[in-house]
Amino acid sequence: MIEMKEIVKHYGKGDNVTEALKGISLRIENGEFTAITGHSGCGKSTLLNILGGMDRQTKGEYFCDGEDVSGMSERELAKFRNSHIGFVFQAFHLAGELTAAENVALPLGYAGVGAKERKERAKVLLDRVGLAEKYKAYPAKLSGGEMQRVAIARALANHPRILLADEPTGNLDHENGEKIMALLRELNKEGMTVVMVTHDLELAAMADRCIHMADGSIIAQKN
Amino acid sequence: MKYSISRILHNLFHNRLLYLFVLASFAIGSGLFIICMNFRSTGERLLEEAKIESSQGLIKIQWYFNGEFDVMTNPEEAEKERNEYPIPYDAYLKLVSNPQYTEDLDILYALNSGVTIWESENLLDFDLYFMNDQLFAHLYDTDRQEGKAYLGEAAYEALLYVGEGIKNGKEFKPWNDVMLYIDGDRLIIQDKSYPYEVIMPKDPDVVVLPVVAAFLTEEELSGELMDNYRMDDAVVLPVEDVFKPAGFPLLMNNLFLRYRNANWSEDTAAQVVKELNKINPKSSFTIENRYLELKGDMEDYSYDMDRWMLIAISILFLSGVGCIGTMYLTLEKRRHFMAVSVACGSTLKRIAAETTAELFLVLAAGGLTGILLLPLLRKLIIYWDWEKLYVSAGGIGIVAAAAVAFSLISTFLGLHAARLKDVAAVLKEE
Repeated sequence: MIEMKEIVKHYGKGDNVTEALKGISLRIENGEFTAITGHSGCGKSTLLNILGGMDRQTKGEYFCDGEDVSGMSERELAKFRNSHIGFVFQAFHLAGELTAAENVALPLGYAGVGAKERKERAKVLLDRVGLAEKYKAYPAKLSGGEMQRVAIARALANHPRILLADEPTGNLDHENGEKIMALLRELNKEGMTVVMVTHDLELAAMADRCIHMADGSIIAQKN
Repeated sequence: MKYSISRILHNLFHNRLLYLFVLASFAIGSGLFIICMNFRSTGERLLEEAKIESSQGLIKIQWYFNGEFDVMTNPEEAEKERNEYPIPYDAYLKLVSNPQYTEDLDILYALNSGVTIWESENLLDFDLYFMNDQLFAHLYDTDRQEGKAYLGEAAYEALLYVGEGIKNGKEFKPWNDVMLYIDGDRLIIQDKSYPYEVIMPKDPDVVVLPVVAAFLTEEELSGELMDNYRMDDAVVLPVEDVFKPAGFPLLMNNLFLRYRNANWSEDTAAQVVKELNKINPKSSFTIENRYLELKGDMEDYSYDMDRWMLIAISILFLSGVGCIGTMYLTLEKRRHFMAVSVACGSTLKRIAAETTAELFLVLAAGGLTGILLLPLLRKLIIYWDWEKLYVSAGGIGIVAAAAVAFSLISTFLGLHAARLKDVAAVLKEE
């Protein structure tokens, strides 16, 4: 379970301070599929980054399954990201010089998993996302949809409890976007907590809950 | 740790062309640098050895004649002029009376002439030496007794024969107006009488008095001719009793210096030379000394090696710039990947450590290559013939420190340029 209390995030110093988040409080239950919507600059990506341990709040508390994430050191935070969180980005962010399998295995390496087990796990994950035959392919040889599926497989590498997706279909055509959404729904049905940031209200409607943000605050929540 | 190693090796392979340039430039720069440092440490060591040797051995004073007569056009006058300006007895007296010199130096001095006595068809030759106490002690390894004459074994036999011959009425004619013979326990020479002792140099290898050897060529010093210059025929008298045998315009002579203690300073010996040059303005006196010769050579060699050192430092500097450029290019390319790595569970510190290690491996390989290139570089840049170059640990240490510094600085600047501080913002970029 994710619990956030009065999360505030400031950028800048002195007279040039920007308030990205203004006292966000929310609670996401295990296995929920939550969409966060809002116009550009409303703070939704900032909220996602704090959820994923990629950024730290200026004030407030953040608990994940009872663990105080806000009090973690850099090393503990890295371990938290590695074991609890799976990230999916709009721009995919695959390493061009690594094969699909090597990209998938990246979080496994940081978890200390051995080379043989990394290879085997990567195969299983690529099969899970329907790309078993693309095991040795480089990202340059993959379509947008395939690259995003590889990114999802990478996000699943260490069996995370939470999948965070930031505009996962933003760079995809409609057909590939639907495939990705279908995959996310499937993962959610299997028990994964999914938090997705999107500006697409149609996609947001597919989630269990939709949180609407504006100017750093939650202005509406809809189930 | 294992995964970090595999990441480092992967990155090394994928950036091999850039890293090859860095490796090559660092190899050449470090090889040249180590050679130059080895030159310095070898030179210092050789100078130290020469200094010790010089402080223990004799320093010979060489002289060169600056006369008016050319030996080719007027050889007789040139020879006469040359012979008028060695280191005369007066010059020696001036030196030994100056405590500025005698405090640090032993001044070893002798004058030498040949004397012949003619008996019927026989010629008896003697080497007459007027020797000071220091040179006597150096040659015979014993102190001289005041007022005593010392005879070589052959000289003793010959003088005994002359003495007995005179008693028995034989006629002997001195060739140089110098009559000498043994009468009982005394050596009679001219109008003086000396107690005497038969003595030979302690060191059997010393067969030629340095004062004689100074005038001999290498050929004359070798083989059969050495027998002509043994101390067997020596008649050694105190230097204060010096006189010139008839037929000799002057006496052969030479002067040696020896430092009394380990605080060797070339200045005192140089002062002596300056004094001699003042006394004999037609001669140029110099010190023949291995330390000073080596020092002079080192100064000549140093000019070249300073130039090579400058080249080495320039190449190392360029190599450092190459490291920064390489890191800038590679980390800029890896920017998004590094941000994703952080998202997947790495940290900026770990990424920085891996990157530093990656570059350090390249530079370490370059340094090792530079060390392997040392024999080739030595052939290319060193033209004089030293037996070997002593390894300067300092040179290798500096190169290693440079490798560490280049790695750290380049990684720091590269990561700074990659703007990875806000990882989340990087991941937001397309």
